[in-house]
Amino acid sequence: MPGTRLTGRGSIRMFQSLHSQSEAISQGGNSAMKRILFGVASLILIGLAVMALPAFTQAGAPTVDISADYRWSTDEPIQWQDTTKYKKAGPYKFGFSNCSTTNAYAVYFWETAKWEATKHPNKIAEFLTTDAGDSAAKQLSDVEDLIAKGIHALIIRPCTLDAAVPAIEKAMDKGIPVIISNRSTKTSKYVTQNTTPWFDRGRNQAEWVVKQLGGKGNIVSFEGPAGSGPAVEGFQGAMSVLKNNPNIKILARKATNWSRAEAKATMEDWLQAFPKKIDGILQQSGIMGAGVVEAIEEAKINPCSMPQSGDDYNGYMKWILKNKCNMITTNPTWASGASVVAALMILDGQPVPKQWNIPTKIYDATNIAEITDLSKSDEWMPNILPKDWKIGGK
Amino acid sequence: MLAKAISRPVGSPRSFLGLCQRLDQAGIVWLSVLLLVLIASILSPAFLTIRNLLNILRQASILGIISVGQTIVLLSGGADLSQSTVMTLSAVVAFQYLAGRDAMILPVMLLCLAIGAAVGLFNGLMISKVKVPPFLMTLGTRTIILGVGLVFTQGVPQGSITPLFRQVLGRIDLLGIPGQIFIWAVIVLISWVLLKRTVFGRRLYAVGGNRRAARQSGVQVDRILIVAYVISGLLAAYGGLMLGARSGNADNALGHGYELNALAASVIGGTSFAGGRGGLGGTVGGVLLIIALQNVLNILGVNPNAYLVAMGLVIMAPMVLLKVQR
Amino acid sequence: MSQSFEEDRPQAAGLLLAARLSGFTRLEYVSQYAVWFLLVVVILVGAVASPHFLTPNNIFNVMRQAAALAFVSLGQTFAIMADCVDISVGSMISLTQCLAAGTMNGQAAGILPALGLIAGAVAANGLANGLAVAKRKGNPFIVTLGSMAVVQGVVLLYTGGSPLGSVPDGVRQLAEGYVGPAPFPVVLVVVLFLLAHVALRRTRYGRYVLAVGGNEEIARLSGIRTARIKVATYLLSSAAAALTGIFLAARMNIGDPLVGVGFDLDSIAAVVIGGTDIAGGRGSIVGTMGGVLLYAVLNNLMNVLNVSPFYQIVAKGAVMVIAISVYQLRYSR
Repeated sequence: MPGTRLTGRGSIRMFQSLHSQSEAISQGGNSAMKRILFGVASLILIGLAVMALPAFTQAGAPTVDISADYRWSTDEPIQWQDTTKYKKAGPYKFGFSNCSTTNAYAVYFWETAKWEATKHPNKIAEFLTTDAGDSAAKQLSDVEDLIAKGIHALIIRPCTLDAAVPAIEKAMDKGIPVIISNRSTKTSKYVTQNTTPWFDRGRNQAEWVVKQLGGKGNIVSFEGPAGSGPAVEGFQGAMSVLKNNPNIKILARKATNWSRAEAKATMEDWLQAFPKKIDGILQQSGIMGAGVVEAIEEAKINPCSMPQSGDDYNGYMKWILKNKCNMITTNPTWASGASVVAALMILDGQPVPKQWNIPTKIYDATNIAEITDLSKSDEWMPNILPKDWKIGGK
Repeated sequence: MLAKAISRPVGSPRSFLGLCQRLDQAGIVWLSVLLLVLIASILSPAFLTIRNLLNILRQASILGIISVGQTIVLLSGGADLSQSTVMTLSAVVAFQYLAGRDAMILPVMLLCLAIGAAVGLFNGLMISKVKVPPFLMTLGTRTIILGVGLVFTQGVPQGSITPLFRQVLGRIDLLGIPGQIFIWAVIVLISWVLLKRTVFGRRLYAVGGNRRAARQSGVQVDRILIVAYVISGLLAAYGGLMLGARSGNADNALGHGYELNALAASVIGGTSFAGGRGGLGGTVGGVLLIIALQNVLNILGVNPNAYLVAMGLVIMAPMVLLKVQR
Repeated sequence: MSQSFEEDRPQAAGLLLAARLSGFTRLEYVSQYAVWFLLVVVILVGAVASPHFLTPNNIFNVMRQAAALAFVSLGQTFAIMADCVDISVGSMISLTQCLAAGTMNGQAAGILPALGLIAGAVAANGLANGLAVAKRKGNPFIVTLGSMAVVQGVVLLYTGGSPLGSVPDGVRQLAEGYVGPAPFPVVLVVVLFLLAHVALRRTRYGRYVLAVGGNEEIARLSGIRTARIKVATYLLSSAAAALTGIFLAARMNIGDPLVGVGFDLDSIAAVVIGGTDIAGGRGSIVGTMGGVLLYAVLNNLMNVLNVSPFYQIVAKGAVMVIAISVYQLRYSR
């Protein structure tokens, strides 16, 4: 190495500057001195490079500050993605394809992404968002539109497991990194995925219900829209527990579409159909859970005699706080913020885990007060937005 | 050939089949309800209990009220697709301004009814003066009001209701019968009187039957149309308040689907989509049919996807199998 | 109207009378313009708002996205003109998309069976609707409401509620392929619309459709087999929905039981915005094209302008109302 003249091209910038420096020295020094200096400089550089190497291979040491909210769960071994090929200089144009914003969860989700984006004004020049109105077909068009506008990174919350898959794969093929946010997709062509796995949540919910019933009894199950990722995966998670508990029977299950009124009417009918036979309720969401407990109350039955799961919908949490029974698993609204951070990391060439899961937390009557907000409406959900953040601001 | 065979009356007026063939659409619907009740009672003991029947009536009351408005509009020769989002807007506005305060109940209710009436006025004006086709006009209004509701709540509805609000809107039981059923009955009664015993009702039928002829006879067609849509808007707003009171929350998809169910209930109950023909008797039957079918399928644990097939067959079968009197 | 047609048969005279009675010619011409005027306004707004808007890439994107609505609206135009509105098209789209993706399952061998099943579904739905409306004198709205529910239930039962299937690469070219510089679906839409336009103006079927929709009694008295026309129209409408379903299967590479939701009302809206009278008897294929484009361009414009989704919804409803009002004002007295 020492003594070989390096050309300016194809070498690290440091080498380049050193080269020009050594050129300058060599103009007015003797050649032996020049070679020694060059050799020492090379050694220093190699040493520095070797020391820097672990940052690219060591688990859990990226240089961007990741807040505790966005920390990935370490339940599963982390599969690091090398993102050096995506590295480019900012400022960036991000595209965010949302499935819909017509429910409160989706709104907080979106707002958290927008808020996170405002924390990096120098790096994110444009934050384009689209709303597919719950249509997988429209989401495909939306992603195409975003790609056509020259985005540098795509964050997507897919409507279904198959929504927009052709466009996602097209984006990856074009070198646009894709970050899947909150809901899963069936393709594996993406860089990272920030979700709170519905499978785990369904499993937690079923485990709790089974435990409350002592492994024996009849349950009914309320689920989200038929065929949607959350409903399907959540139920799969629940089944993973139920198949080991043959004494638990599912009397009936229905997709009540995250609707409080629909869940209430269905429970009324089931209380008629299975009088005194329902022991527990497998419930995917708090909004539906709130309707169900009301139906039970109106039938003059104590709702606490039918243990029910749920999520962190404020209306349900308030009920749990007051009645001191039932449990929830949280559905964090801030995975979107993690996605923004992930996009920045990817475009900076830093490694990210392929499955960047935001863990769920379990709360029951003993600790629900920690996250319930009695001053807010039933539709509120826990979020990390600052108190003065205006929803709907750009 | 088959069609010809079916169309010939088979039985004498005294036989059951003959009787069926002489029923009008409203009669068919009530017959279907009866058959459904019979079949369900046989298939499940849980169906024919007082509690379950009251449940059905209670669940039906909100759709029933909405359907009254839809029937009136259909009779005028139009349709009102904006009912669902008016329900939603009414509910979210109520929750926001009520904010858990009993004192605000009356002003808030009046405000929401006024919103419903205003939307109805807008629909009526556009349909009568600008002559926009009702189907499309109310489709456009539905979208606009959906957006207004979303803008108003910024996606996250605020506020809350009070127990008194819920009671006022029907939670009290009178003689063991839920209040909502009474409210529905009263609204149906008043509307029936309006349709069958007042000048307005006669004129409404005339306008729906043949708008031009009605105008030439001196009927103030525009006024009739506007009143019809205002009634529909009012009932939609009221239905939204009841739904919010019933479910205890107001989200931005609260009224989703109600307008199509109301349309279906009215139409299969015999109110013609062309206008000028039909009435509330059939509509009530239609509402009961829809809700009872839902209830039966829940109780029997039938695959919920089968509900739609069942519903569709129930709608089409009488039309295909029996020659309905026109 | 051509002279030779009048010479042909006595029923032609009655037909001509019916056409003149419905005042077809002049009013259709005028109301057609409304939708194009609006389209130009929207395009201008988009061009000013963003440099990306008028790029060939974006234009082709928009037209490809519009193709789905275009196919189904084509069938719906004939249906509405014949006074046979068809609201079962939405669930037919879902059914045919799922049959296509579910039967093909990514294999070329599955293409023929898939087409066979789809043809069967089209025949069944079209015949059921047509016979119920024509022979049993059922109200088109009720009948197709019923068939919509049945078809939607069938597709939900068939798929178990979840999306399924996939499409072989060859078939995907239907949506992704190019004919020269233009995307294949765009070419297909243009060709089909031209054929339909010719069919409406120049073939007997086209004229009979208008006659039947304008005044069924007179059409029947003129000797037109109205029942046959109605059945044919419902078959056409279901076939158009099937084409949309196959196209969407190719585009999305999946069969989604809910993909067709909204297409029924959107197709009716596009047709009527384009100048076709919802009461039947007069209309324009070209106008429908304008209505479809207006929809697609508006959606694209909203994305381009990055409008908040809540305001987008208000805006879309408002544009719809304005579009219909403009069209109505121009030809109402």
